[in-house]
Amino acid sequence: MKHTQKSASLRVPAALMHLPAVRSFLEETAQAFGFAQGDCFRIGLAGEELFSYVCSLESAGGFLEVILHSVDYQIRVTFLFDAQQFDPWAFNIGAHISPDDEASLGELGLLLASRAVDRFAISLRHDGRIELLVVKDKTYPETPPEAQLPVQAGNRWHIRNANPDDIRLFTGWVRQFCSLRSCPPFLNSAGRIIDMIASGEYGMIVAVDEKEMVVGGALWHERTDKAFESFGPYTASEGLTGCANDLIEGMVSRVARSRAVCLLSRWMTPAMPSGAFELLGDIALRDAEGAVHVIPVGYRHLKEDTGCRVWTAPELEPFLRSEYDRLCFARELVVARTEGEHKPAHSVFAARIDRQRLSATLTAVLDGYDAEENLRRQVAAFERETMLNIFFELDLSTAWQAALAPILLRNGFVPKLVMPYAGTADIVLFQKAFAS
Amino acid sequence: MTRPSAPDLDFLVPRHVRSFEPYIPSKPDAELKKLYRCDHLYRLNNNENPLGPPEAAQAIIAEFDPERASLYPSGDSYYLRHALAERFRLDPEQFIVGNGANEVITFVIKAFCQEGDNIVTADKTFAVYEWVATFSGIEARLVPLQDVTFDDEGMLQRIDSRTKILFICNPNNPTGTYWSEERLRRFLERAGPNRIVVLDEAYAEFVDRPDYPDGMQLLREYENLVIFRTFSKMYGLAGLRIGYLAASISLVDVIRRTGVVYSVNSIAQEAALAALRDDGHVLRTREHVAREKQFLCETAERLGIPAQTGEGCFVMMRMPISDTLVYRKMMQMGVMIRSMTGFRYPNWIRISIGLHDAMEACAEALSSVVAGER
Repeated sequence: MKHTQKSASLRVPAALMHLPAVRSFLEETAQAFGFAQGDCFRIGLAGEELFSYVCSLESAGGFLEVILHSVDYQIRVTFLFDAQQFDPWAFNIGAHISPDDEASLGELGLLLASRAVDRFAISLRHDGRIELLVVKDKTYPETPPEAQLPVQAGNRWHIRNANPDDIRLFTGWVRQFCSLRSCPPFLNSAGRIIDMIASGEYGMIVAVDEKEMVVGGALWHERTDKAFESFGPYTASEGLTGCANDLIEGMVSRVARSRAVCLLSRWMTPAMPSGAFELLGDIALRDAEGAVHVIPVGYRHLKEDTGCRVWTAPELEPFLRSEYDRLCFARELVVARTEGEHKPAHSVFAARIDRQRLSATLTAVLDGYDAEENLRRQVAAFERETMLNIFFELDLSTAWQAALAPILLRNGFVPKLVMPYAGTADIVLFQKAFAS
Repeated sequence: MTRPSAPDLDFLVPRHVRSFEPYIPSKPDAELKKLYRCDHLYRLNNNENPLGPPEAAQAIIAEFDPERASLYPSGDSYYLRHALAERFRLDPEQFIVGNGANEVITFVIKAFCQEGDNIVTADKTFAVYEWVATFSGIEARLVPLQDVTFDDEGMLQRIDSRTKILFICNPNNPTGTYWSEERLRRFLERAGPNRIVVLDEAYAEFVDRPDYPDGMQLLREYENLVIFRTFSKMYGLAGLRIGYLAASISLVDVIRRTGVVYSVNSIAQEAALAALRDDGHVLRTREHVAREKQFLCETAERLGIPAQTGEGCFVMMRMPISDTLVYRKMMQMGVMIRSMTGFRYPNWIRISIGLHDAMEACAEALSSVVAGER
């Protein structure tokens, strides 16, 4: 069956009188694109909150472009508008709250919009427009336990691109044989995986034995322009070392000539062949019950490292030198210092929120004198919103970003790992230490 | 903050270009040595000839009159085409000389393919056929190698009514495997006359096997055949960028329409002309390559690393860790090899044959990498 991506857009003045039109556009279009009523309602609700927020800004008065884009497994709504007509500062999460003022914490602004959806992101695009993105995953029935099939792995297998029936067989056993820590939530539904693969946004290969039984699988998708994320390798029994190796080679071969510079993996399994991925480090994720899961982050470079120059703050330099030596990446480190130059009053940090993982990730968009205060404000807003895992991705391509490192360190963030070429240059991932 | 004059690239750039990742070549040696903190660098990544160009070609380069730099070269490499014709007993009009064989690949795809057409080649071969097709909006159908060799049957099965060109790299870079004349003839017969068959013979001069086909001679029998050759490999002129194609006059007449004249500079044309006449250089190079390949294979065996050795001036080895990590580790030791993930050979590296001191440095670096993983 040919799956198609669909989209519709609406251009509308930023005025509250158009709120019903925006909501009905989102709900009715999502419905027309085949999504269930509950999903449509939630996407309409998120859109309504976003639109209201934009209209409430003093500088409002321009137009917004609202784009609803759907693939079979997900709806994405993008609000686009010119940053010249709206103050970008207002798109800092919690811009209107003070971390020291308990009363203002009720005014969570943009966070309200994120509550109805699975993921939410604010970013400043290269064309100078501000982009607000909300993502709602389609609701799928979970593949029932009785559908799990007994798997008897043969001694020979071959690797092929997964077809829908392969996926059904794979989903039947994957959670039975693999630790839940190695299985992302989407693996609980064959229907979801089938749609994800059909969309072209995810790739999947399977190992099939002589009896046409699926005995292994691996998946990947484009996480950013430069980095693909991989899942697995999943094998039906522990003895299938060669199968895991073939899955990794099959996956790497399939992305080798893509735009990706690297494969990242937060979902490695014990079957991962030794030496297949390098260990960048680990992050700790706290779940809603308070349990902390340590997640190793694997890395596989897909190109030859041409080396590059990166900026660092003096406080970050020992960490970077140690990591670059360990990973054998050629980097010229240049120390960024504050030289007394003028900068804007207000900084802008973009945010991504993943409600499934209770995580929020910040990136720096614009420097400003209020950077530290802004960071504290955003962290307070996230904590209030029960985002238990807070990250900051610092791109080392510019001196001003590197110079933010001491602010992060002063506010409880710890450098966890370096992701080579994950941004314009390398990215250092900081994680906010858990409150005791 | 906004950039009102920024062009709308979503509108301007075709989808097939937008989704294409540009190839980033390595930095100059001086920059790499600084970055990797090494005091020397052996480049064993580009399959260059470690003996350099033939002496006569070196003399041409050394004696080139700087004042001639202000004059355009021969627009169609007139004398070189005549020399090629004489050597291969063909017509000068059967040759097109380009700025490296990469340029003639582009000429051929532009000449025969339009939107909706496809080319067929292997998945693990020289990448430029696939790249040029892809960024030109032409589908590249990739057939997995069989026993590390181009799969004739698989390629024939992928042909449809929109297939215009079949690219065969013979011997194949990076596996060094080749089709015999008998196998090639069988393929040409089955492919039929209505598709272009390109035989890329970039490494032909390295092969000394009785069953290796001479594509130039087959041109007399197959009007749809196009041969690529280069002066970058055996003749050591990679830095001057010069390669050529040969085909029937009627095909060349079409391909010439999409070619760019004056793209090959004067020194390159004259050095190539001189190089072509030095058969002793070919023999010396073959002897050197055979000797150093043997050394590399013995090294691989000693280290317990599987190696794939065929024709050409290179050897592939399967490493116990990611090839891109091996690349970085060996760079720190001043040895630059080719990581093979980009060839869809993850964990493999390709080592070009260099002078013996470079081979020894390479063997030492390989030993160190392997020791670090055990």
